[in-house]
Amino acid sequence: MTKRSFDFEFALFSRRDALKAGGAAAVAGTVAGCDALNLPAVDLIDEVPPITPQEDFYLQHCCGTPSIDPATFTLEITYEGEVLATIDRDFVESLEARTREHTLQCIGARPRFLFIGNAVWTGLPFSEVLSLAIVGDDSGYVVPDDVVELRFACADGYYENLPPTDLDDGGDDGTGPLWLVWGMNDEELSVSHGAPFRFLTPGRYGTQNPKWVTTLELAKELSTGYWAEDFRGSWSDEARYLTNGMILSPPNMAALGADTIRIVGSAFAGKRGVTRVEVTTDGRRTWTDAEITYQGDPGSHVWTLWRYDWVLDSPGDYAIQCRVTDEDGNVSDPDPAGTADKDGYNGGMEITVRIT
Amino acid sequence: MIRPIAAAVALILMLPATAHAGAWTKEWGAYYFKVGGDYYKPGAYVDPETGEETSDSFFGQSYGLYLEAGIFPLWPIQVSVHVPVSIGTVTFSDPKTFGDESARATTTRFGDLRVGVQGAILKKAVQLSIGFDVKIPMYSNDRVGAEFSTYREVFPIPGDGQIDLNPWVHVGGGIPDVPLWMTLGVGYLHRTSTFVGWDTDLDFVDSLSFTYTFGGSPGPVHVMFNLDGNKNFAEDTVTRERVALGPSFAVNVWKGLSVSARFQGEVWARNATQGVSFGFGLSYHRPN
Repeated sequence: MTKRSFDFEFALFSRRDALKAGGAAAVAGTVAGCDALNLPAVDLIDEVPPITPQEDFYLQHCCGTPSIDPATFTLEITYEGEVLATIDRDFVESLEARTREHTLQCIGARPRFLFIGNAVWTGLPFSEVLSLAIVGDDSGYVVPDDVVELRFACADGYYENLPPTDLDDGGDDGTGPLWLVWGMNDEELSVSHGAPFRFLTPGRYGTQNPKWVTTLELAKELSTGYWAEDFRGSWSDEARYLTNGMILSPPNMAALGADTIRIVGSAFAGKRGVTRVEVTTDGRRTWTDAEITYQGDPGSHVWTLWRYDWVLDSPGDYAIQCRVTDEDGNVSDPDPAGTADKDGYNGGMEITVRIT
Repeated sequence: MIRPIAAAVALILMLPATAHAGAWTKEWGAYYFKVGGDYYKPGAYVDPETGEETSDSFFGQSYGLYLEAGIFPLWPIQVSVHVPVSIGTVTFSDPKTFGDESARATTTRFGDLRVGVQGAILKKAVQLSIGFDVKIPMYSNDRVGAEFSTYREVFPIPGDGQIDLNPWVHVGGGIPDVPLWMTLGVGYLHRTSTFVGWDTDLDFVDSLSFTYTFGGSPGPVHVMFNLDGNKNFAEDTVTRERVALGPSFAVNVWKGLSVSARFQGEVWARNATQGVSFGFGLSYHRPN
């Protein structure tokens, strides 16, 4: 790993021209338009660990971490005002759990917010938990026909909803089955990650993966989720994963001195597998295939990791961008900022590096 | 994507509050000239997209020249010009990249040029005047941070980028035989949504603008209490409205030469967090 700190400054006026015109003009030019960016020292990463440690896994909450005692916390399942079942830590720990490798990405993930991580979760499909909690065995609980959404209310004030079909594997839909998990990477789930248990919603961004749920109502009317409210920006309530790529190292604006730069990143498209990752270092004129270093099984909802060893030609400022193609032929948007806005990030991330 | 409006408004608020003449309009040949610096620190930095407070912070500086001059020999009519240079710094975190450390993005630009004309209506014991101010951006928000790829959105913009029109009425007067005085101004702040150097679909609403100063002038020292702000005529999510108050001081050190200092705290704000500002200045006043 290499550590460098660096400052960048761009003047809108050409300093050379301004200096030709005299010192006062140089000062005026700088004042008229000067942007400066000071970035701290960074670690360059040779390899992204396929499983993100719990302490490094991104956290994004609406309202801070609530004060929770996992030993006494309960989740009530309700229908028409009646409590059908109450689930607590003792109950879930009495179940024969399975593991599931699964990637989570925040709907607000952007080049500046690299909110993506992959973990091995311990839990069960929630339909199985419902059956055991309500029916008392694994014969299966049938959600009433008039239920149109699963409505989550959380201890931190967050609220969200999912269609009941997310209890099942959505198949071509790319969503489901909803899981309840209580372990992460062979460790107990920490409170900040949702202890004593949280939901995982395959196919949907992190906003639809609620934590600290106190009530799950089998609701007969549709509602609006927390981030989908108009006054919070109308983020997508469906929140389906879009095809996107992120460059995780080097960081944007890094100043680098080596002859060969290793570029590493992630690619993700939810259930759709990633078939190709390409990299450009010459302003999108030519694209070169990156090497896939890690990938889940088809349909597994697991991220793809990639790397590209870039052999440098000469010093200068370079824009590096990635491009991701999924198994359905969807390609990440050439706009590095993405174009889907409140539907999630759909770009191929671009960074600029200075080679000295 | 919407740029950091909170920071932008923070910058444009940093006007030299003590510089305005109030109800007293300059006579022919009189002028007032001030150079000064102002600093602004909001209590928190709000993500313009989510409205949530972030761990980012903002610090604004403004350095400017201000001139008022009487321009008409037969009746008090004056023009005023304010030319600021604005420096805004956002300190931000990016845990995945920088760990616990922070980064800084600084924007330096000429700010909003303000040109005003004011004429006396009544110049008895009670002074009454009307004025008209125009705010013209001297920067292009589209170019702020343009060289910085994915970090572009971090850079604070110098202002809302639009032309404002602001007619005023000022009334003021002193208490006979007592060195106390006050001036009150009320205006209509029309935001034209005519943007300079900014391709945006933002739309700001108009406001009632107001300023009030109560002062005492024992000898060469002027002690003032200032209150100013604006209240929007309609609710929206981007147009900041605020009320700020605080003291200011000026000391005449030699003939018309004065040094001044001010402090202001925002006691109420909407569409941005409250903050504090302070400033200093060196001014010269030539009576007619």
